[in-house]
Amino acid sequence: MILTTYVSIGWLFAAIFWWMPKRLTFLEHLILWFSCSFVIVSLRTIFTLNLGWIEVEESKQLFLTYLFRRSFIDPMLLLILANLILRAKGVMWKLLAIISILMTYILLENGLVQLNVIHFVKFNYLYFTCMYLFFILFSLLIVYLLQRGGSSHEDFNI
Amino acid sequence: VEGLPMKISTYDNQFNANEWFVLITLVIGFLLVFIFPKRFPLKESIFYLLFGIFIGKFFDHTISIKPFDFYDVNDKSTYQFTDFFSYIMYAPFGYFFIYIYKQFKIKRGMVVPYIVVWSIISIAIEYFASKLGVYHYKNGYHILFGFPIYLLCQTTLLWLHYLVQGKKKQSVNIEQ
Repeated sequence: MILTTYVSIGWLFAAIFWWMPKRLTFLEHLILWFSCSFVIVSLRTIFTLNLGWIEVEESKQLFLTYLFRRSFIDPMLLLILANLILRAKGVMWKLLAIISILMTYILLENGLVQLNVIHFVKFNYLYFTCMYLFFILFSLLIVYLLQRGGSSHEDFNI
Repeated sequence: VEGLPMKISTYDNQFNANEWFVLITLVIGFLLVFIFPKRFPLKESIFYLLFGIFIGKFFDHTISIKPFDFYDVNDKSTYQFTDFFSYIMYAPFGYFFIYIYKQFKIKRGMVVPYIVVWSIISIAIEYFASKLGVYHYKNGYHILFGFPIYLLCQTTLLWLHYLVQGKKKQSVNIEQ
């Protein structure tokens, strides 16, 4: 049931992404996805495997839920954020987009904790917020670099 | 100690064969990327390089951690600095997979043999790396279990390559 819930949430985000007007090209989305996933998986592994600050349940269903959250939902939300930021006019709207995505991350993480998918051993929501703010800033840096690269003959839209 | 993983496997603590393998492969791989004539626009090249890194990382941090825990990478079961380089090491492989495909203008009928040959080469390199201590298999995992993973990853990369090319053509048509 937990896995079903998270897959449904993932589908919802994918649908939002699919229908939203996009400012990045297909190739830029791929680059953003892969680079953000690399950083998310690295940091999550450091906090779970190396430091042991977060424990992940070893039951297959719960682990798959964690895996789906880490590998699909997290980067998908960053793609949505990148497009929202690029479309937003004015700092207030950009800030609102960042806060909304951050709140979504916190709610999803809280869901994982409440449903016993993960356990915070030496971790808390302040660390979590810092970690995800870092992911958001990293994704915005990648977007900035991609935009600075400009549109040349290789640029093409979805 | 509270908060630390209960059981960490340590294979060795020295800078030896596995670290040298990672470094040499990394340096040679990226040298070749820079030396060979450019065939792709910058963003496309970055994508092919990133794909290798992402796939290595994704599978290593999925099937090599609990509850699967099928293998460890490099000296310890935890995530180390050398591991980071070992993921970067995968980058040129993704790049050259597409590079050679384009260079030799592989026909559609030859796609399957092309992917199979690359998967066999990948297994051979992985075998060599495991002998040098880059990979340590456990819990019944066999090196050949990686074969379908290579098939899947290379097929995905080729599919994405075609998608990227398709979007490029669409964009050109719209502009015209």
